[in-house]
Amino acid sequence: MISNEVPIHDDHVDPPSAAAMSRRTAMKMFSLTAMMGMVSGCIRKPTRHIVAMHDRPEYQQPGMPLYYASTWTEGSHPYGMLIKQIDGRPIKIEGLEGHPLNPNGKSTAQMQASLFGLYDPERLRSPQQGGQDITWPEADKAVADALRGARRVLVVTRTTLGPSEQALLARFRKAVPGAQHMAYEPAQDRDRRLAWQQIYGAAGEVTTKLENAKVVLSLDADFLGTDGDTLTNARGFAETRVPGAANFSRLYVAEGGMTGTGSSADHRIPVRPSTSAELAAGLLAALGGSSAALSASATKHGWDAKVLQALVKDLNANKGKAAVLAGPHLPAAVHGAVAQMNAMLGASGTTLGWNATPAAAIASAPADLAKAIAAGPEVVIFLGVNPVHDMPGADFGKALEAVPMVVAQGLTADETVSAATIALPAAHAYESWNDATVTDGVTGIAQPMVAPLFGGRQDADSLLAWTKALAPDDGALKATKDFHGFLQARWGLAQDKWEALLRKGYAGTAKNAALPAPREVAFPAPAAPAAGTHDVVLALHPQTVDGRFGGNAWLLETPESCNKVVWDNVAAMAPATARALGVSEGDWVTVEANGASVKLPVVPQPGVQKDTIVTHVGYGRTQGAGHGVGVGVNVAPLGSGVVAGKVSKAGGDKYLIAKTQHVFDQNASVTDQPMERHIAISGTPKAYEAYRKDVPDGPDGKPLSFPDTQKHKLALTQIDPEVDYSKGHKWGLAIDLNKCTGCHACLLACQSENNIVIVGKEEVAVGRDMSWIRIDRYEAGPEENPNILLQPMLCQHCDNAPCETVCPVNATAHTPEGLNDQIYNRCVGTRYCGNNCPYKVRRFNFFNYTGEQTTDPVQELRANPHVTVRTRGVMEKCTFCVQRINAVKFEAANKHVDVEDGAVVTACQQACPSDAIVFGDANVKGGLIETARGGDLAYHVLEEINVRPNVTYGARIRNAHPDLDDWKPGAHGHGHDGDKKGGH
Amino acid sequence: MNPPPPDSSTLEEPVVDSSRAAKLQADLRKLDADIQAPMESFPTQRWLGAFGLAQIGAVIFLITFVYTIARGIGVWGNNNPVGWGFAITNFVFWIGIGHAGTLISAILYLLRQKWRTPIARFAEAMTIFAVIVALQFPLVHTGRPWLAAYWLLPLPNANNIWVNFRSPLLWDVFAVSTYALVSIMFWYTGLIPDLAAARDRAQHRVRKLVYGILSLGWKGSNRAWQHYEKAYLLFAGLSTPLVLSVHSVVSFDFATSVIPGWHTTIFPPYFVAGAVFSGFAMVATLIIIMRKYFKLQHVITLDHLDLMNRIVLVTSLMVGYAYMMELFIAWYSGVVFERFAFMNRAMGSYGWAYAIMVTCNVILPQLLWFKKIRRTIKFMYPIVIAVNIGMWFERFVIIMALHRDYLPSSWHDFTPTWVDYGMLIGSFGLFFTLLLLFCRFLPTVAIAEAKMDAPGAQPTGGHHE
Repeated sequence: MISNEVPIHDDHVDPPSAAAMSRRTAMKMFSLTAMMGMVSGCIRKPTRHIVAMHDRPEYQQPGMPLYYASTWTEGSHPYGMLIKQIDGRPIKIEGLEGHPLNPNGKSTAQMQASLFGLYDPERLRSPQQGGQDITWPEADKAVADALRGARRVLVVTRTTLGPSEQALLARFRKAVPGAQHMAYEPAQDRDRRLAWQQIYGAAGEVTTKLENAKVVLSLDADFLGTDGDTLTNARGFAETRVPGAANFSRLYVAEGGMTGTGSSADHRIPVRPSTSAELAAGLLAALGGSSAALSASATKHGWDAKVLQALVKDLNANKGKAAVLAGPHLPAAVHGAVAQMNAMLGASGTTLGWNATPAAAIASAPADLAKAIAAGPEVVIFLGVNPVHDMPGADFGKALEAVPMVVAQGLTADETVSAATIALPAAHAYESWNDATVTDGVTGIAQPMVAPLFGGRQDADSLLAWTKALAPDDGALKATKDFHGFLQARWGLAQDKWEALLRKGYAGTAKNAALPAPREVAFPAPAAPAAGTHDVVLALHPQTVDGRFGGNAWLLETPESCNKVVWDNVAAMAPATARALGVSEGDWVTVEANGASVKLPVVPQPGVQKDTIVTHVGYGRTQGAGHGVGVGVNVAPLGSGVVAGKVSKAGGDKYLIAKTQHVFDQNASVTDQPMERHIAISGTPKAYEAYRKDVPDGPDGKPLSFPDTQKHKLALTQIDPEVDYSKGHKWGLAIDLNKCTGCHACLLACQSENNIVIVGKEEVAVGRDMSWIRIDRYEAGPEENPNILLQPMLCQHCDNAPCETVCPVNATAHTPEGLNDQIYNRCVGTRYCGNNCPYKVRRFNFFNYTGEQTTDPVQELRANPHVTVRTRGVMEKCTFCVQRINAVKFEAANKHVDVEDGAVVTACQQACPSDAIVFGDANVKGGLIETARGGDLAYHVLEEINVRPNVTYGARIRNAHPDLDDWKPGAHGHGHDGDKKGGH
Repeated sequence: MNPPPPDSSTLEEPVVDSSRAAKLQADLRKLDADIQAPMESFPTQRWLGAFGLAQIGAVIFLITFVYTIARGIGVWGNNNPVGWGFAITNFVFWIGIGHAGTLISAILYLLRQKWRTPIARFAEAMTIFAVIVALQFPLVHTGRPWLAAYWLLPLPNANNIWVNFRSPLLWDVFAVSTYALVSIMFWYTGLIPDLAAARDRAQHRVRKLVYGILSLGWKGSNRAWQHYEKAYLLFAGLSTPLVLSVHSVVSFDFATSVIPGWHTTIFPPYFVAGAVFSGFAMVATLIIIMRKYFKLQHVITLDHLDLMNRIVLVTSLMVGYAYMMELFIAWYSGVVFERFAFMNRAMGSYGWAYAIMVTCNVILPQLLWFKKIRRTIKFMYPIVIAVNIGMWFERFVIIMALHRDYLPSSWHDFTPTWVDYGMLIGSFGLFFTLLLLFCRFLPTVAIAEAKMDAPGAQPTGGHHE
C-alpha cells in the first residue's frame, strides 16, 4: 500500500527558521501577507457597525453567510430580495419569499446580475471637477454655490424614486425655489401609461393575475420578458401551465418581433406593430359579434384567419378567465380597444387588476427634457440617468454644452457624468439606504450591505447635503446627519419596530385594486404604414433592458433570448426580408428614421414579421461601461418605441456576430430528410388525450410515458454492474418545459453562485462560452412563424456518466449520492470528458479567463467563497450546487435531523420565476423527484444511449386550440409538432 | 581492426575460388563505402538546404509549442463541442506513420521477407522519429501539461489518487510509451554491428570514440552474432503484437466513446490498416528521395518500391472497405444519430475533408494496380504523397465528428488558428530535422544485413551443412 511507503506524518521536519528561509518559504510568506491584506480589505461594513473581528457580533461567524432582506430598486418594478453576505461582502441575490410582488422568492436575470455592478472596477472613485479629483466637501461647496444664485435649476432623476427620496426632493425644491424636477426614462412605457390615464381616469398601471386566466392574448406585450411586472406575470402564467389540468391556459401572441413571450405562445401570429390597431379594433368588433372587419384585415395583412377565429371563439368562451395585454410601444388606440375588450371579457378583478401610482411615476417626454435644457437653466443635476447616451432623438450632449453648471452623479463615468462640470460617484443600490413603492399600499425598504466601496455617496445623500447647505435653518434637517437618518425619521418607527421592518423588508399590504371600468376615449387612428417603410421596433433588451445594464458584462454575455446573440444589438429581421434586401447574417443595413440614420448588423430571425425590424436600445456605449464600451450600436437617434424607417443594404465587411447557439432545428440534417432526434419533446392536447386514453406498455412491460411514445423505445442492457444508490441521498433535478419561459434568470443565478467567468465576444464566437446552464432553443415549422421549444440544458449527472470513464486522471467521478463531481485541482485538461459528453455541457477554461479579467482586486470580492475559482486548463460544469447541498447537510447534521426533501435549493431553481425547476432527493418515496419522474410527461434526454441522466424533463404540451390541433390518430413519432424543417 | 564479419566467416573456408572471393570482398567494401558515404563526407549543399528548411519548421514547432504552454489551449481553434482538433489529428497521424517501421523490421523479418533489408533501417528510424514527434502532442494538448506529465503516470502519491484505468487515454500512455521504448531498443540493437563498421572506418579520433562507445564494443565474434541474432529475433517477436496493439489502443480513444462517428467497433482494424497504409506511404515518400540523393538505387531497387506499393494498394483497399462499412453500419443501425454523423461526415461542414480523404486514400491508390505505375517513380510519387495527405485528413475527419454530435443546440464548427497550422508544419520540421541528422550520422541502410543479402554473400551449393 502506498500509505505504508510514503511517510505521511514526518516528525523530522523542523519549522524553517527566519535565517534559513528558503525562496519558497519567502514566497509563501509574501503571499500570506498579501492575502491578509486583502482579507482585511474585504470586510467592509457600514461605518457605524464596524467592529474588530476578535470582538465580532454573535450573529456573524467567519465564512458563514448572513441574509439581509432588502428591496431591488434598479429595475422598473421593486422586488423584495434577500442578499447573501459572507464576511461583510454581498455575494448573491435571491428573491424574498413572501414579498407581495414575488411571493415565491424569485428573481429576474437583472437582479442576479446586479452584483457585477456593485463590484464593477469601472466605477467612479472620486468626485471630479474638470477631470481633477476633488473632495466631497469641495464638490458640495461648488454645487451649493452654484445653486444659491441660480434662478433656474433642473433636477433629472429616474421615475423610480422611493417615497422618502420624493419627500427629500420636495425639501430640496423648497430650498431651491427655481428648481424643477423631471423624471427621465429612456424607454419607459410612458405612452401606454398616458393612454391608461385617459382610459382609466388615473395614473397607474394594469396588473395581471394570470393564474386566473385560461386564455391570454398578448398584442406585442413581452409580459414574460421585458414588459411590466415580469415576475408576477411569469408566476401567474406558470401556474396555469399544467397540461391536463382544468386551468391549462392558452397563450395567443400577436407580435412583430420575436420575443420570449412569443416563444412561449401556443399560437403566434406575426403582426406588423403599426397594423396592430387594426387588429385590436377587428378583435373588439369580433368579440361584439361582427367579424367581417377582422376577416378583411386578416386577408389584407396575411394574418392567420383560422387562428384569429379560434382566438375569438376562445375569448368568448372564457369570459372572466381571459386577459388581453398590449405592448408599451403600440399606439394609444390599441390600448383603448384592449381596455374595451378586457371590459367585455370581464377581466377586471379576475385576470387583471390596477395599481395606482403617483403621476410622477410617468416619465417626462424626452422632448420636454430637451426643451427644459433649451430654456437655459443655470444648473442641471442628473442623478442616476444617462440622457447624453440614451436620449431618443436629438443630440442631447450638444444641447447640454450651453448649460453653465452640469452636476451628474452616477456609478461610472458614463457619457452624462463625463459631460458634467462636476462628476460625482454614486453609491450602488447595495451601498444605500432607500425605500420604494412596491405596489399601491406596500413600501419596501432597502438597506446597505456594504460601505461604499469606492467612496461613492448615494444620490439622496447628495440631495440632502445640498438641501442642508441651502436651507441651514430647516430645523428638521439640521439634526439629520444623512439620508439614513432622514429615512428613519420619516418612517418614525421605534428602534425595535424599525429593526423588525428591516428584517421583513417591506411594510403594508397590497391594495390589489380591480381594474376600473374603462372610459371610451376617441384616440386618433394611427396612420397606415407608408409604402416602402419598415416598422423599426426599438425594443428593450431582455438582458440589458434599456441600457441601464449596458456595462454589466454578465448580462452582455447572456444571450438575447431568441436569436442567442451576445455582446451586440443587431437588426433582427425575417429571413425573407433579409433575402429581399440581399443581406445575410453579419451584413450591414442602414436604418433611417426620424431624420437619423444608423448602421446595424443583420441577424435573420425566423418568426419576425416581414415588414418589421427589431433592434435593442441602450447599446453603443462610448464611456464608463467597461467591457460594454463599443458594444453594439446606439439606436437612440432613431427615436423610441416603434418608428417607421427605411431599411436598405449597406456596404462594409461582414461583422462578427457571436451567438451561443447556431442551429435551431432539432431535426437538422445535411440532406432534405429531417433527422428526428426527440430532444425537446412536445405534443398537442389531442395527442396527449389520445395517449392518456390508452397508455401503451414499453419493452420492459412498464407503461410508457407520453414522450416515450413519440420515439422508438429501446430495451437497454446495463453492462457494468449496477451501483446501489438506494441508501442515503440520490440527487435529481426536474425541469418542466411547459413552464420555462426562457428568461435566463437561472443562467445569471448560476453565474453569480458558481463564480462563472465571462469570456468576451470573440471567445463566444469561437464557441467557448462558459455558462453551466443554457437555454436551448428549437424552432420547427415554417420560418415565417415557427413553433418554439425551449429547453434548459445543464449537466445531467448521468449514473453511467460517459465523462467519468474517459478521464485518465480520475478528475471527474461519481459520489455515492449520484453527483458527477469535477475535481478541479486534479484536472489536467485533456478535454476528453467534454468530447464524450452527449449533452455538451462541460466547459473548458481555454485561457486563464479569471486571472486575465481580474484587473482590480475588488472583483475578487464578488466571488462566492464557497465555490472554487477555476484556473486555466481546467474543465468545469454544473455541480448541482454541491456547496448548497453540503451546507444543508451540515446544518441538518448539526441539528441531528434528516435533510428534508426540497431543503436543498439550487441557484437556478431558486431564481426561476416560473418554478420550472425542481431539485430533490430521488430516494424519497413520493418526493419531488419521484413525483416529477413518475409524471406521464416525464422523459430523459438521450436516454437511448443508456447514460442514465438524472435531469428529468417534462414534455411540453403546446396547448393548441382544438380547431387548430393538427394531430391525427395514427400520426406516430411526431417528436415536434410541425413537421417541416426549421428555417435554417 | 578486423575485417567485416561476413568476410571472416567466408574466409575461413575458401571453398570458392579466390577471384570470386576477392570480387565479393570488393563488392562488400563498396557497399560499406556507398552506405556510409553520406556519413563520412562533408554535408552537401542539398543536405544543408534541406536541413535549414527542416530547422525553420522545428523552430516554428518550438515557438508554437512554447506559446501554447504559456498562454493555454485557447490559442488553438478548439472550442466546446470540438475539444480536440489539430493536436490529436497530428498525434494519430504521426503514430500511424510510425507503424511502417515496426511492421517492416519486425513482421517482415519474422516472415523472412528479404526485400525488407534495404528499407528496414530507414523505416525504423522514421518510426522512432515519428513517435517522438507524436509524443509532443498528447502532452501539449492538455490544459495543464506541467501536471499531465506526471499525473498520467501511475506513480504512488500522498493523496492515494490513482490513475483511471478505464480511460483509453491512459491505455494510450502505456501503449505509446511501450511502443516507443521497444522500437528504440529494437532499432538500436540492429544498429550495433553497423556502428562498429562505422567505427572501423572512422579516420578521426572523436568519430572513432563516439562510434566506439555506441557500438558497445562489438567485435563481430561468432558468439556476439549468435546473441545478436537471438536478441533481434526476440525484439521482432516483441514488436509484432505492438504493431497491432498500439494503433488499436489509439483507436479506442474514439471507439470507446459514446459520440456518433466515434463509437464504432471497426476502428481497431481500420486504424491498424490505416497506420500501415500511411506508414508505407511515408517510407516510400522519403526513401525515393533518399535513394536518389545518396545514390543507393542499386541497394533500394525498383523491386523494393514495387513491393511497397503493393502493400500500399492492399492497405488502401482495407481502409476503403472500412469507409464503406462505416457508412453501411450507420445506415443499417437505424440510429438517427449514427446516420446523421456519417451523412454529415460526407456532406457537412467538413465534407471537403472527407472528399480529400476518399480521393487520396481510396481512389488514387487504385492506380497502383498497374505495374508500370508501381515501377515508375514519377507516377508513384504523387500517389504516395496523396496518401500522406489523405491519411492526415482521415484523422481530421474522424475528430471533426465532434462538431455535430447529439444536441444541435451545441453544434459549432472548428476553425484552426495560425498556431494550429504552425504546429502541423512545425511537426514536419521536427521530424525532418531528426531524420536528416540520422542520415548524416548513422547508416541509413542496415549494412550488415545488406551484406548478408548481397549476391554471393551466402554460401551456395551442397557443401553447406
